[in-house]
Amino acid sequence: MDFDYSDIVPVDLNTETPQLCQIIYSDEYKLIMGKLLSLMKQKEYSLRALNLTSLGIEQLASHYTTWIYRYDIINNLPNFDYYSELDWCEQIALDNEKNYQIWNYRQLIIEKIGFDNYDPIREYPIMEAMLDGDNKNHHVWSFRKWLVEKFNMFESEKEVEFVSNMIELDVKNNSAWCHRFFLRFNNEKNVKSEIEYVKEKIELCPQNASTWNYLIGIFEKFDLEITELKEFCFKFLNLDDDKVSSSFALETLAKIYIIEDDKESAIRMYTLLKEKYDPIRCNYWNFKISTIEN
Amino acid sequence: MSNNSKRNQKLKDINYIIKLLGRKRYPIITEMTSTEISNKSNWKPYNPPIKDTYTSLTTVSQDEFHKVLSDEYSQIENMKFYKDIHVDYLNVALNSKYPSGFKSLDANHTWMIYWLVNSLVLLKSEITKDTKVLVRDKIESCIIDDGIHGISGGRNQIGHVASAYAAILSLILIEEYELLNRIKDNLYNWFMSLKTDYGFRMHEHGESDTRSIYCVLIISTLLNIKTEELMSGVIENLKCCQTFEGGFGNVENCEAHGGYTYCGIASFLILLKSKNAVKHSINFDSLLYWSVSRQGNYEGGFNGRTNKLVDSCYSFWIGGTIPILESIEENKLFQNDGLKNYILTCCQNDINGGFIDKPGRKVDFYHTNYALSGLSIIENEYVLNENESDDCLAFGFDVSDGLNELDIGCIHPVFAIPIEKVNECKEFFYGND
Repeated sequence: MDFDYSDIVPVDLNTETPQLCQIIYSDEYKLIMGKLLSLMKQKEYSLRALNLTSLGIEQLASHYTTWIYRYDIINNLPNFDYYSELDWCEQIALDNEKNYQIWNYRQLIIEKIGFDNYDPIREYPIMEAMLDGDNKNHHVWSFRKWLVEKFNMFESEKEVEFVSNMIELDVKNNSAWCHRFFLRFNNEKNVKSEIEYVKEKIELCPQNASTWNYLIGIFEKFDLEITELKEFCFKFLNLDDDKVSSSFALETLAKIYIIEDDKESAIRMYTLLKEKYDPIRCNYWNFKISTIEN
Repeated sequence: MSNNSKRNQKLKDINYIIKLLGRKRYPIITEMTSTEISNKSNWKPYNPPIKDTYTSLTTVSQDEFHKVLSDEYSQIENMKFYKDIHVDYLNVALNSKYPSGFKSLDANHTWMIYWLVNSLVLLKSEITKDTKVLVRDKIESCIIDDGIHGISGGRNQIGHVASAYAAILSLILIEEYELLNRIKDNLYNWFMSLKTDYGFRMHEHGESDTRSIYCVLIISTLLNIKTEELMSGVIENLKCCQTFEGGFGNVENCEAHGGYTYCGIASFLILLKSKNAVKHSINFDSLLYWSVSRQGNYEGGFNGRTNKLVDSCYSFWIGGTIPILESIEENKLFQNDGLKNYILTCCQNDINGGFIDKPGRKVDFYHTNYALSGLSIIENEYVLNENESDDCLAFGFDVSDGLNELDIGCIHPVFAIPIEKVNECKEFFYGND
C-alpha cells in the first residue's frame, strides 16, 4: 500500500553547528526519521505512521524511540493483527543479530495477545534460527527464559530436548547450561538425574568451567555435601604422575579437603593451581591459602 | 568551491574517516611520542599443561583467537602507551562530522559525548571552555522539557535511563552544576514514573534490569535526589539477579554477564554503607570466584561470560570490580599485569589512536573509553573508607599512591568518571548537608 506523507514537515535532525559528534545523515535517513519523529510529536497513530516505523527500523533497528512509537501506534489501531506483527518482527531479528529492542517488543506483543491465548511453540523456529547464528546470544536466551517462565514450560519435554541438543553440539556453551539450570531446578525432583547428566559431560570434556559450575551449583543450591565428589575428582588427576586433566577437579578437591580439615592437602591443591595449572589467578589462590592458614 | 579545494576537502574527509575507523597496524617504524613502560612485566601468556581433546564451536574459536594473540604478543618486546596519539584521536572524534554510516550511533549521542570526554579527562587533556559549551549544548538537546520527560539519546527522541546516565556523567565531567541543579527534581519524578515494584523501566514500555537500576542509582546519588520510596524493593531484586555461577544477570535466572555484574555490585555500594553489609547481602565468595575467573591464562585480559572470548570493554566492567572486591576482602585478588599487557599490546591502535575489542577489530569510542578506564583502574591504588557522614559506601573511595607510570587519571570504580569529578560533584550537591 502506498501512503501519502507529503503534508508532514520533517523535524530537523541535529543540524545546528558547530556541534560535537555530528552525524551527516543520508537524505533518505533524514527524510524517514525526520517525518517519523514529526508524526510522533503530533501523536499520530495511523497505518501510514506504522509503515514509517517499518522504514525507520529498516534504517536503524537499534533506534529505541522508533520501537516505542510503533508500540503506541499498534495500541491505538483498531483490529490490529498481532500475529502478523510477530512475523514481521522475525525478519527484523534475523537481520539484526545483536539487537535487543526487538525481544522486549516481542514480549509486549505476546502479552498483548494474552498468555492464555498464545501457543509458545510458535516461538521455537525463530529462536532456533537465531541461536543457530549465535549459540550464545544473550538476548535470545533471556527471551527463552522469559517464555519458559510465563508459559510454565518447566515440564516441557520439547524444551529439555532443545537444551540437551544445544549442549550436545557444544558442551562449552555456557548459555545453554544456564538455561538448563533454570529449567531443571524449578523443583528438587531432577537433582539426581542432573548430577549424573553433568558428570557424564565432564568426563567428555574435563577442562570446562560451564559443567563444573553447573555441578557445584547443584550442590550449593540443594545443600549437598561436596565431599561426595571426592572420588569423581580423582578421575581427572593422578598426582603421583603429576597428570591433571582438569584444573576444576583440583579446585573442588581443595574445597573437599578443607571440609575434611586436611589443610595440608588443600594447600597442596591450591599451590598446584597457582604454580602450574592456573597461574593467572595466583593472587586469588594465595588468598585462598592464607584463609586456610589463618 | 574550486576543484582543488573540493579535492582537499575530500582528502580531509577521507583522513578523518580513516582516523575514526582506525586501521590495522602498519609494519612501519616511525618515531612517536609514547610512554615506554619501565618496569618489566612479570606476566607472559601461558598455556597450562592440560590437554583438551574435545572440539566444538567454542574450542575452535578459542584456538583461533590464541593464534592471533600469539602473533600480537610475539611482536612486541616492551609495552608502550601512545597517550598523545589517543588524545589526538579523541579530539578528532569529538570535533568531526561523521559520515552517514555513523547513523548506527544515532540513538547514542549522549553516550558518544561521555565516552570521548571521559577518555580525554582520564588522559589529563584539558577540556577547553569552547568545548565545554558545545558539550552542554549537545546534552541540552537531549534533555526533554527540563527533564520532565527525561533525557534521550538524541534530539527529538524519547527519554531513556541509560542515555540519561551518560548525559549526567558528561555534565559532571564539565562541571555544569547549574543545569544539573535545574533538572534534578524533574528527573526524580521521571524515575518515579518508570518505577516498578522492584526496579525501573529503561523507558516507556521498556525492560527493567540490573543496568537500568544501576543507572538510576548513579544519577540519583550524584544529584542527591535518592529517597526511600525510590529505592524500595530494589535491593531484594538485585539479590535475585546473582546466579548459581556467582556473577549477576540482567534479570533473575539469566546467565551471569560482566556488564550486569558490574551494575549489580556497584549498586550494592550505592545502597549500603559498610563493607560488611555488602559482603553479607550477597554470596560474596561465589561472586569473587566468578569475577577472578574472567581472566584468561593465555589472554591476560577479561571475558564477560564463562567460555567466551576476551574483550577489552571488560577491562572496566570486570576491572571496575577489582578495587571494590579487593577493598572489601582486604586482599590482592587479580593479576593486573596480564590485563595491562592485553590492553596495551593487543588492543591499542598505535598509528591513529583508540582501542579495539580484540585484534582484527576496528577502533570505536566505546572500547576506547572502557579500555582506558580499565588501565586507570590498574594504574592507580585505591582505598575504600567507611565514612559515617557519607550517604553510601561508594563515596568512600579514594586514590592513594600507585605506580601510575602511564600518568593516567584515577577513575571512580562505581561512578565511572574520575574520582576528583565525583568529589567536586558531591561537594556541590551535598556540601550544605
